[in-house]
Amino acid sequence: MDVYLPIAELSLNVFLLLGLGGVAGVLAGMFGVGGGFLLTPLLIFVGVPPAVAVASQANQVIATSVTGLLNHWQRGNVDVRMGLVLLAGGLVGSTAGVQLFAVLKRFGQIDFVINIGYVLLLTSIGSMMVVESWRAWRRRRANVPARRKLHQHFLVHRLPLKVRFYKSKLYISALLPAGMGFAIGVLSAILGIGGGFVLVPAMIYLLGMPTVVVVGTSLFQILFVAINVTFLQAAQNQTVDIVLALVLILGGAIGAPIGSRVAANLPGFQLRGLLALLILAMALELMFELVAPPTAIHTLGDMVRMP
Amino acid sequence: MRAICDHPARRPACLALLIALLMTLAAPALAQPLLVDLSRPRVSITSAFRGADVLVFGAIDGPGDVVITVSGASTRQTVLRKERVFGLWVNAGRQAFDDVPAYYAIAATRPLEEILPPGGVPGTPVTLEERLESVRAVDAQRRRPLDLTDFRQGLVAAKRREGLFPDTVNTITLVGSRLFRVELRFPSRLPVGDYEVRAYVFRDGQAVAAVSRPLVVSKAGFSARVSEAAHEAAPVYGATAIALALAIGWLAGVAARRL
Repeated sequence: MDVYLPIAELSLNVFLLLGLGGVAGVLAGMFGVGGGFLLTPLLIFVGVPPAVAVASQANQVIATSVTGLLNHWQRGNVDVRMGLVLLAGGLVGSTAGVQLFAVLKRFGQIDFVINIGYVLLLTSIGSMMVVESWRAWRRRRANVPARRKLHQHFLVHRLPLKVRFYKSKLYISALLPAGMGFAIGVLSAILGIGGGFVLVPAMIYLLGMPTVVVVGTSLFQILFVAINVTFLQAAQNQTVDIVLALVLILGGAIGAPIGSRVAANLPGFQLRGLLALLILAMALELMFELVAPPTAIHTLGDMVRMP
Repeated sequence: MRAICDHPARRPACLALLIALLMTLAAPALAQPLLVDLSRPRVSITSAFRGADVLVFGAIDGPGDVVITVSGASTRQTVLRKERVFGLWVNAGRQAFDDVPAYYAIAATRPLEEILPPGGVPGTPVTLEERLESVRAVDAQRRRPLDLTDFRQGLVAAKRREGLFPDTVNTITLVGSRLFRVELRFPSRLPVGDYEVRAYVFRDGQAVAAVSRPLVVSKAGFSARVSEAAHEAAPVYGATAIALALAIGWLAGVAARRL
């Protein structure tokens, strides 16, 4: 059964799209990440124009992050003040990112930027996570109690504009989280990711936030950034495919509970190791596409009707 | 008649009727040398669109071969070329061309080389090569001729790959050397726009008659409304997309906790 995507302007199999959304949902349920890093490249691979894939993906991220946020909100695991600071940076970053996206698209380089952006991002985050979960596994085998966190306070403490974040038990400059929010905002506009898998480690290792509030707070920022990106992409570039997004969201709603059930039966370091391997595999695949000689040198770019 | 013929179940009966009707018309010499019509004037891209078949049928007066060309709207098409930069394949080259048909397909009663004289008929572009002779590179003076040829070949190859320049010539069936029909298959990734279906009669390497019929390819129903909203009421469309995602996400969260 095929469904015609009115903005992407092609027909795709409904079950393929539901499956893709479902995989993203399983990831969201298992790891608390949106799965955008997996979905966007896969959508482009099946023929969805990159601009439409990225923008519709942002629309899908809204649904997965609101589901997760509700959960964490009820347990009181959201540092709203930190979330707002992250968000302030995120809104500026994503607005800038949407403009940058339009410029890159005009120069025909958007595919390349998306591709190389994913390779760099996934490789660095993936390797960091592999190292981290390997250490955790070794610690568990040696039965050594976890070492104290090694994060350094120098930079965060020297910057001006210090704010007290009660829930996170931190007294740090607001500039660092705002800057982080900005960077994630740009990434989410250009790469169509929520940014959870970048934001969560950054909040733990760079800001030193307690792990309990990290996921809820990152979802808070991701939700509002995704709303901003969806709105801007729809209003400026007209690239949000509502049919595509809805099918992905439905798939995700089915996949998420499955994911959380799987996650409940796996220890944390194994879960993180698994996610890391998945991220690295995706990075390798995208790297291969950049290095291997392409099957077709020429591709079609923009088509404009002549008067 | 068109509406009835669009119905696949009734198509054979309807065709027989049409042919019988045309037969009676064609029995005395035709007033016009060439009559052509389409089973439908419009290809509607709906939510379930997977490509479409359009029947082109008609009658000719006297012997000859029929050739039909289907041409999509004239467009400015950009071609991207991957080049190796620091070991990575990047879309480093780009070239725009004017007057590229969005789609181009041909049907004929016999192989084209048996119908057309070598080099074609001047003023009557039939083959893809002839149709593309009017295609002009934008800012051509900025490139070497060899480079332009490369982009031009790349354009044709890329269009072929997307199924927009099908390289097989459809066979037109002639009935009693007077009536002809051919079913044209359009791919699912069909650009919208005003198409032109042109029929020619060739006799001894000369075009003796030509008739043109418009064919509109447009989004219809739900997909037309979605696409219209996305372009004409973009902020409202964006807000709707956001509201829907919020609502489904929230519902999914509530449902998951109940289970």
